[in-house]
Amino acid sequence: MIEVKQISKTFKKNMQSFYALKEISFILERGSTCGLIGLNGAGKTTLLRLLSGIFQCTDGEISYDELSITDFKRQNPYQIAYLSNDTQVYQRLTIREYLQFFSRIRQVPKNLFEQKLLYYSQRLKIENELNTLLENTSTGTRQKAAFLSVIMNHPTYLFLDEPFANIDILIAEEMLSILKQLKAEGTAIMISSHNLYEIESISDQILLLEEGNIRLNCQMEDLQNRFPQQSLKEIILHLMNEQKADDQDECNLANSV
Amino acid sequence: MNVIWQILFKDIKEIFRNKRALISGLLLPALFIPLLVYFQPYLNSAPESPDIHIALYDYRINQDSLAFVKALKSNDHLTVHRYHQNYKEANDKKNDLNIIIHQDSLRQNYLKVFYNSASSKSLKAFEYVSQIIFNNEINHIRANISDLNETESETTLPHDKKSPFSMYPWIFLMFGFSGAAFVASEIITGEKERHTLETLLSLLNDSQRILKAKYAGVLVFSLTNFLLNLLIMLISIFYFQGDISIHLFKESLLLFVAITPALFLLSAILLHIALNARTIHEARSIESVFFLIFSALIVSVSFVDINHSIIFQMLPFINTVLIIQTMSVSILSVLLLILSCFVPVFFIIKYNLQFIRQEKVLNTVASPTSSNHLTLPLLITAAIFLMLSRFSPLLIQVNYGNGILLSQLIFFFIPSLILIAFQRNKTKWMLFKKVPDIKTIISSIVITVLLFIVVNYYQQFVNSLFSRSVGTDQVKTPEYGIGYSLFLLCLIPAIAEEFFFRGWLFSKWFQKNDKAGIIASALIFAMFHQNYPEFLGLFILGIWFAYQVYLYHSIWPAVISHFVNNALVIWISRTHLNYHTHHSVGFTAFIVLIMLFKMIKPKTQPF
Repeated sequence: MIEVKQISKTFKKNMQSFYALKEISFILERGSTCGLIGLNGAGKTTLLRLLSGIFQCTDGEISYDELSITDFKRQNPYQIAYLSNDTQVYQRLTIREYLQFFSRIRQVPKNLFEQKLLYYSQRLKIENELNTLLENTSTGTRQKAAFLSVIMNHPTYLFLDEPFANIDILIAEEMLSILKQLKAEGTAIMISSHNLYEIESISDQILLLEEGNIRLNCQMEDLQNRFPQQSLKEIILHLMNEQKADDQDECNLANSV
Repeated sequence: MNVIWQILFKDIKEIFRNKRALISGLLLPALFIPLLVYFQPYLNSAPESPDIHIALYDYRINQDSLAFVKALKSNDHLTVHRYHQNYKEANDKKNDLNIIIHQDSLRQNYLKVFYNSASSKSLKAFEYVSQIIFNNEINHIRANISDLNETESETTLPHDKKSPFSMYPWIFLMFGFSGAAFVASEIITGEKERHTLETLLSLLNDSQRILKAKYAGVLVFSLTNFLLNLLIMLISIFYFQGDISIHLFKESLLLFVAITPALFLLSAILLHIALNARTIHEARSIESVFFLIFSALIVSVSFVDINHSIIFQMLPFINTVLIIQTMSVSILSVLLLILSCFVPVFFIIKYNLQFIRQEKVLNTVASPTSSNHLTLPLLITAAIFLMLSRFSPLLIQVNYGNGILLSQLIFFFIPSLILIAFQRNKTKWMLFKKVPDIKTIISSIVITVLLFIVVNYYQQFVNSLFSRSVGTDQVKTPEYGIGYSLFLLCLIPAIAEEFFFRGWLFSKWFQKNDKAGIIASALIFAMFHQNYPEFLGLFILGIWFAYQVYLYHSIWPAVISHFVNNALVIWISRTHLNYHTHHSVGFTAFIVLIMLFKMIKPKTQPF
C-alpha cells in the first residue's frame, strides 16, 4: 500500500519557484489500479516521478508498505517500475537484449527470462522481431518493448506514464489484459493517460489533477453510481465544465463587486 | 556490482554497434599515428643542427694544445668558450654547455673531459671531441673522461634523449580524450535524452551505481583508445624505423604509468560535461570546445621547456608531459602525478554524485525553457579578452584614433552583433527595440553624473595609494577636436561596449540568475579595461549599466549613461577641474545618489 501524505513539489523557473504539486494526499492499495487524469501541466508526470522515487518531495512524505522509499527499495530491490511518457529505448540493442538487460539487473534466472520473453512477446505480437535492432523497428514496437521492460518482472508498484500512445487498439487491449493480470497478482498500478477509454476499463480509482491539486479522488464505482450511464469521458468533461462555470461565477462576482 | 557490470556491458555493446564511435576512436588514430611516425625523422632533424658548446677551463696554450683548439674551432658544429678562473660566468651558462674540458694544471697535455651521456647533444659533442683527440695529429693529448650522468642528477643538463614517444606527450592524451568524448555524450547524455535514465533511476536504490557504471564506461573507452594508439605506434615504429627493442617496451610501460592517471581525470571531466549537458548536441559542442583548449594547452606545454618546480607539478597533466618528455620517473613525480590527477577526479565525482542525487540531472531535461549555458559565453569572453589585451595595444601604437575605433569594432561591436544574431532566443533583439521615455533618460543621466562624482571621489583616495594624479591621465589623448573626441572616445565605446557587455553577455547571464548576471557582467566589464587601480570604480559603473538594462528592459539608457560618463571623463581631463578634493561634494553626491536609488522603482516586472 502506498500512502501519500500532504506532498508538495516545487520547481524553480527563472529564479521563481512554483508549485507543481500542492499538498496532495491519497492512498493506493496493492492489487488496485489508479487512473491519473488531468490536463497538460496538471502535474501528472511529476506525481509519477515522485512516486517512483526519481524526484524527492519538497514537503510531505510517501510511504510504501509503511516504509520510506529508500528502505523499501533496500528491502525489496527492483520492485518499483516507472515508464516515462516518451521513453526511447536503447536504439542499438535488439529487443531481446534490451529486455535481457533489465532482467539481468533484476537477476532473473535465464530460463525464467526466456519463458517470460516467449510468453509476452507472443501476446504483444513481437515474437518475430526479437532479434531486430530497436533502431530498425517501428515506434509502436519500441513502445511495446519499453512496456515489456517494466512489466515483465512483475513489480510490486508500477507507474505508467502514457503507456498507450502509439499503440493500436488490439495491442492496447492485450496490454490492458496483461495489466489486469498483474493487478490480480497484487501489483498496485498507477496509469496516467489521455485515453480515457483505457483508464475506464482498468481503473478502480480515479485521480483527477488540476494545477497541482487533486480535483477529484474517488472510486470508479462511486463515480459510476453518481453519473449512471455516462462514460468516463463524459463525466470528466462534465466536471471540467462545472469547474469553468464556477470560475465564471467567481469572475462575475468579482466584477460586480 | 552486478548492476554496474550490466550497465557497462550494455554500454559497450551499444558503442560497438555505433559506426561513428568506432571511426572516431579507432580509424583516426590508425591513420594519423603512422603518418606521424613516418615523418618523425624529418621533424627530429631540425633541432639537431644547432652548434654544440664546448667550455675550456683554465686552458693554457702550448704547441699541442694550440693544435687541439684549432682542430676544435675548425669543426663547424662546435663553438668554443674559454674561461679563465671565471667560474661564475661559466656556471651561469652551465645549461648551454654540452661538454666541459678542464686542463690539468701540472700536465698541460692531460685533459679532463666532462660530458653527459643522457643528453644527445652532449653525447654528440663527446663524439666530436674524442674524434679530434684520437686524431693522429694531436697525439700528445691525453684525456680522462667522466660521464656526468653517473654522478650528477639529470637536472643539470637538459634532457633530450631520443625516445620515439617523448616527441608526442600530447598525442596519447588527445586521442585518449577524443576517443572517449563521443562515447561519453552517447552513453551519458544519450541516456538522459532518451529518458531511459529515468527508468534506471526508478529501478535502482542508489544513483551512485549508475554514475560508477557510466564513469567506468568512459574510462574503458579512453584506456582502450590509448592502448590501441600505443599498439599502432609500436607497429608503425617497427614498420618505418625498423628498431623495436626491449628498451621500447620499457618506455611503453612508462608511458602507461604516466598516461593512465591523466586519462582517469579526462574521463571524469567528460563524465561531468556529458552529465550536465541537456542534449547530445550540447554535450558534443562543449566537449569540442574543451578539446580545443585542452589540446592547445597540452601541445604548448609539450613544446615549452617546463621547469620542474613543485608548484607547477601540482597541476594535473603537467607530470604526464614531464615524465614522457624526460622518460624518467622518480617517486616524487609519480606521487605528484597521482595526487594531481586523482584529487580533481574525487571532487568531480563527488559533485556529480550530488548532482545526480539532487534530481537536477532530470530537471535539466524537464525544463528546457532556460536553455542557456554559461560555459560558452565565459570562454568566448576569455578569448576576446586575451585577443584584446594582445592586439589592442599594437593597434593603438600605430594610430591612436584608428586603433581605438578598430579595437572597439573588432572586439566588441561586431562580435556582439554576431553573437546575438546566433542566439535562438526569439526575444534576442528585445533590448534594442525598446526605446526609453524622456523621464528614464533624464534620471539615467542624473544618476550617472552623481555616480561619476562619487566614483571619482573614491578614486582619488585609491590613486593617492598608487601615487597617481587624478583624472588627467585617465585618457592620454592626442588633442582632437571636441566633436571627434566625443565620437571616438564617448559614442563608439558607449555603443560597442554596451552591446557586448550588456546586450549580449549580461542578457545571456541574467536568464540564469539576475543578480549574479549583473555582478558577473560588471566584473568582466571592469576586467576588460585592464586598469587595476580603477577596478572598483569600473565595477560599480558596470553594475549601474547592467542594472539599467535589467530595470528598463532596454539597452539605450545604459548606452546614454556610458556616453555621459565618458564625456565627463574627457571634460575633466581637459579642464583640469579638481572638485574631487572637496569632501563636501563627494559626500553630498553619495547621499543624493542613495536617495535617488531608493526612489527609482521598476515600473514593469523586471525580466
